[in-house]
Amino acid sequence: MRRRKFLALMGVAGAGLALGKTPAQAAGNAHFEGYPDGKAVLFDATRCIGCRKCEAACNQVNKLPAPAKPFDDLTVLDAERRTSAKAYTVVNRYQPAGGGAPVFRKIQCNHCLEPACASACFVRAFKKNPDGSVTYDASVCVGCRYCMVACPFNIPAYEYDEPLTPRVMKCTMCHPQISSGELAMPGCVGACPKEALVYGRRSDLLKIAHARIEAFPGRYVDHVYGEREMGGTSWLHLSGVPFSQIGMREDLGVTSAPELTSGALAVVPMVAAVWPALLGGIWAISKRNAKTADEEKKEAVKAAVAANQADNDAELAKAKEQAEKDKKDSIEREVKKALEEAAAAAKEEEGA
Amino acid sequence: MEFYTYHDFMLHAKNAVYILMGLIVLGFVGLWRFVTARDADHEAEHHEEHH
Amino acid sequence: MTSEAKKSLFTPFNVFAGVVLLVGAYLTVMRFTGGLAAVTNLDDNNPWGIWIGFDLLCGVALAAGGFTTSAAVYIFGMKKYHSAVRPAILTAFLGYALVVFALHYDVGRPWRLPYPIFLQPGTTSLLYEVGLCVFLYLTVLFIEYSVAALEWLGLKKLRGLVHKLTLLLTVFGVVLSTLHQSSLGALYLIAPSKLHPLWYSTYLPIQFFVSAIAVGLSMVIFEGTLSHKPFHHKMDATYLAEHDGVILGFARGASIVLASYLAIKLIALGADNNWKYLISGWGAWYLVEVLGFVALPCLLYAIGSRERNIRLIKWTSGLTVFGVVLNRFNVSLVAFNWQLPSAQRYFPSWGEIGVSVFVVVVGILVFRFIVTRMPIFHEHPDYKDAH
Repeated sequence: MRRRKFLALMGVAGAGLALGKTPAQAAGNAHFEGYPDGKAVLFDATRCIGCRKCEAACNQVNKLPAPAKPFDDLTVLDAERRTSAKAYTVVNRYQPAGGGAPVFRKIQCNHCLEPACASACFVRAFKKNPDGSVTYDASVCVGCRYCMVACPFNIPAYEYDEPLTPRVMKCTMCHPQISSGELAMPGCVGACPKEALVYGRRSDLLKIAHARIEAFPGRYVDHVYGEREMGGTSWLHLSGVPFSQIGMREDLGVTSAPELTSGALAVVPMVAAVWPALLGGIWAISKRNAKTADEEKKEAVKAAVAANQADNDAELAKAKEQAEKDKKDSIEREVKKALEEAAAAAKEEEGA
Repeated sequence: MEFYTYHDFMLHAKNAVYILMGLIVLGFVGLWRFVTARDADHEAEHHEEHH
Repeated sequence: MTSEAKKSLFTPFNVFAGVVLLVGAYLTVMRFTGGLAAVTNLDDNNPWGIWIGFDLLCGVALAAGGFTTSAAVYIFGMKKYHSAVRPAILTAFLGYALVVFALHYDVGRPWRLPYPIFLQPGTTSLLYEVGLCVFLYLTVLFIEYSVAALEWLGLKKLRGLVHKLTLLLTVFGVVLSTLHQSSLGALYLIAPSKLHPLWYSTYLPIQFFVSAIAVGLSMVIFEGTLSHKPFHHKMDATYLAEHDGVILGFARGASIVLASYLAIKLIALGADNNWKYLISGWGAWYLVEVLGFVALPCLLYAIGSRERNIRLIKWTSGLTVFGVVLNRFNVSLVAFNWQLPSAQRYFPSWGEIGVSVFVVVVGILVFRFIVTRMPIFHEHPDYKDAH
């Protein structure tokens, strides 16, 4: 076949290939499934005994500074803690409303499918990786801390006492260690003696979580926290008591951060596209109005001057006419007078 | 092109949009200067006559 | 000028300013040797304090007089406000410059501030939008202000060149101002779970934009009132003659804009069906903000401009400025993290207040330096009527 026809066919094939790939591409009705093989961690609050071995493992794996109280000191559980610049993860103890044994929950970054921190970061310091982890790049971070404002779970912490090189600190799902092969699973998961933490493909863990609920309906609240919250997270939770009783907000909704801000972002280019035309138009109209007003003013002045001139001319003409008449009368009078004098003089001559 | 997350899609789309915005604003300046060129000439003449 | 040189340097204000500058220098050293912890009360739950709530949010809002005044004169053709343009542009330029200055204290690594624009733009972020537009607008304002500086320096040709750009810069300025004023409000869209429902709304961007116009007009009146006595000797006949006209005209405009803002706030309530929150402590506070500092100045401006009551208008401008500051504080500090127990709530430290006062005083000193030397309140004799 001809070369042109061949190239055209190739082009069409290429376009068809590009267009027909996955449904997760359309713009207006955008729907994105996330990385298909993304990993996650399933935390089962009914299995956790609050031993804090996960905290110790995390501290060791990430070479974080030693804490004020050692990890086997369980009195720290008396106070409710949050993640900090020196602790990527903490375990809290909660007393459920209906009484009974205390329940424990491990707090760490939830590695959201559509992370608010990544959406908020104006220098792309956060990234959702194909392995499911959300990681932070300290080499570009300006330290604006908008990620901390954005995170609905209040996870990122900051090195406020570092004068020149402060970093945001948060759980990495051991991405560096797993990528390099140093670890097969996050440090906390490996350290848990009760298998309260399980690491695997998110899709698989969801199945496992729902299977547990179905197998033991009296044991679990019928909800996998993180399945849909904030658009879904890669840290899933099962609990025997309502999640709000173990310090987890149940009013976050299912809308992800990018979805919350996409409306405002969409308007931005419209201002650039429309304002110049609108403002240019207003300027042109106001300039034209000013010009018209100016011209009307000039016309009015001209007319006034002309009218004034006409009045003056009329008066002048009238005065001239009057002057002519006066002159004529005056001449007539003189002539009459001269004639009378001449007649009188002639009469005198006759008499003598 | 494949986007696995809405975030990735937004990043790509917004990158393009910001670049477009810059071009649009520059385009408007060019168009404005083109459209008002004769006015500018007239004004220049006008000023010269009065000086 | 000779009489000024003979006057003492140690006026009450100068002494106060001197003390503030010394405190500022000390706090600067503390900030960059001890980190944010040494100077602020910021923590992991409250990453943004008054350096964002006041210096950034209020600083940008209060500088809105620049784009509103220049738009009124150069786009809408209201020539009778011309003498108000340069003071407004100067206030805006210094306002934005101070915002950037204050940011150098707040962000962890200020030398990296160019990164989002020149290295790795995070275009999904509304903060990127704010940063880009503030950067561009500061440039626009600098160029607009530079006309006065060039006149002072006698650089006639360059001045003429820059002056020709006025309309272009004004339009670009309105575009950029619309974008970043609204985007500052949009910053909070990402955190609905942290902002009280009476202040959180998908309409936050337009609320911020419209209130910025109202406070911009008010700041021209307010700043003009504050400048009148100390800089009276620098004001020429045109400025003084147009002064009252500016006040009356801007009051009328501000009244209308505040009415629009009020309408937007009402719609925001209804659209999210948040009426029930009005019957609560938070509701009472919300009503104080909206009725006392939006509805009331709207009414007072209307009465003032109609009855030509200059004094009432001047007081109302102060009320409006306070009201917008209150709103920005409410969104960023008071209604933000409203659900946290009071022990975990944020309150500014003396260090943070000190730096904010320091930044404002530096602004006033630079303002004073410029208006007492450059043709801001008066026209330069070499360039009279050259517009």
